[in-house]
Amino acid sequence: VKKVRVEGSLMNQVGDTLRAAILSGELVAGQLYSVQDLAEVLGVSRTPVREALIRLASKGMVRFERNRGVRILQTTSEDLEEVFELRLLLEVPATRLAVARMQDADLVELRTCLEGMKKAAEAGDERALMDHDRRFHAAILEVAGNHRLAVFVDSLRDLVLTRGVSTAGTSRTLHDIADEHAPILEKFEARDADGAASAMRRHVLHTAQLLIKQEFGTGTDTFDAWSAEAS
Amino acid sequence: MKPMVARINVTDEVLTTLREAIISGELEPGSLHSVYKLAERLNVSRTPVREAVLRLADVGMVALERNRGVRIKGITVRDIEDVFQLRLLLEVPATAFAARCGQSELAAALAEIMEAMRMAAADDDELLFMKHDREFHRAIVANFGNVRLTSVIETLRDVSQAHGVSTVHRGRDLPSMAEEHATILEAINRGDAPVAAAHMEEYLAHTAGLLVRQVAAVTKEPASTEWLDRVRRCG
Repeated sequence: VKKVRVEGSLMNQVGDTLRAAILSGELVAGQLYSVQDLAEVLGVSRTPVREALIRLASKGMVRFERNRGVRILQTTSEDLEEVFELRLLLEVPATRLAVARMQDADLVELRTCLEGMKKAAEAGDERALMDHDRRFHAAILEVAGNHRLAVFVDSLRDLVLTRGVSTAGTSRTLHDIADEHAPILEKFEARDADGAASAMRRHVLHTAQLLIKQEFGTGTDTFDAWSAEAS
Repeated sequence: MKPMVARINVTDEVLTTLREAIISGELEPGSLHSVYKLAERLNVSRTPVREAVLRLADVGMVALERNRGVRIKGITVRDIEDVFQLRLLLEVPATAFAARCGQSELAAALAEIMEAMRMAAADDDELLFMKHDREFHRAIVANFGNVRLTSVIETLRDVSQAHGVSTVHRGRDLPSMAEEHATILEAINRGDAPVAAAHMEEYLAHTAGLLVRQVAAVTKEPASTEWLDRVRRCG
């Protein structure tokens, strides 16, 4: 965690810094931290740290514990199930909606994101791949025309990353992840709404199943049911 | 750390009070307030008020204006569109699920809420009716068993309920709203998932359409509901 320069909205800067530190694992899941210590490390007063933590708590990334401080929350298998269930409920119909509204410039953006993913995979740069992956999904949700939806799904993705979990290099290679997005883009280019929606469904479902199997060694009834429904 | 935890509980209380004041219209849309004055009015220190206000800003109920204070935000057609698009995407499948996999406890809870809704409608008690309306939808959503889903629906309802936006007496009356819910409930009880989902979709779309017209009349935005047809085709 680096020192934060005092300018702009301090609370937002502190919030971004803490969020990045949680996602990178620098602030360790399951560990307790005092507001005082965090403020000292960041070189700021306690007020903006407390305010930033309250926001992270409302996103479910940390929890305040009476008299002790703030605990970085560990993502459980239930968390992952909930998050992916919501992503399926939201991203699949939103993808169908986005096809009808997609402009040429939006297609260019999706293509750029996919190219970015492929290059990052080539370079073995997991972080860059994740950034492009996120932009790919966010671009589709923005085209669907609902900013609240895009912001909400983005915060769901934070929750998954909080655990530092990713299928990259474990259950599938970086190339596999990049390639999974290609069919979605193809269906967008063909203006095939149902095809794009089912490609998105396959991709999100596959990620959920791999991740839960990898992290908890189990399958889940929830996603088996989703798969059964899809086929 | 003790003082901070104590303050956080106060923050929750302040948050509830401010949210209710915005929803009831006691804090008028467009009006500007200082954190200092709000703290004085609530008889608490400024810190919990500042913290509560930050959270209200997150859901778009207020905007923070540098060096000036807190602006109570009016609702726009765009807000209604965003909120109801999300509610349609989430509540319609949750309703189908309730019809397919609802337990007897859900049926009993919904029957009780339905009865209370009809009584509130008969008494023409709008506030009480809206409370039961919210419980009805919450019970169906909670049955889905996804805590995050339940909490996002609560947040969305706060947004649309803010500023007292309601369709009551502007296009439909309480007894007809109660009956719209009764058709949803009957289909759930029959285990008829497609019909239950269709009634829920109809109800939400009807509500959204009325709200859009009502808000548009105030904000002078176009009252387009073309997005509703689009969303309904994609569900």
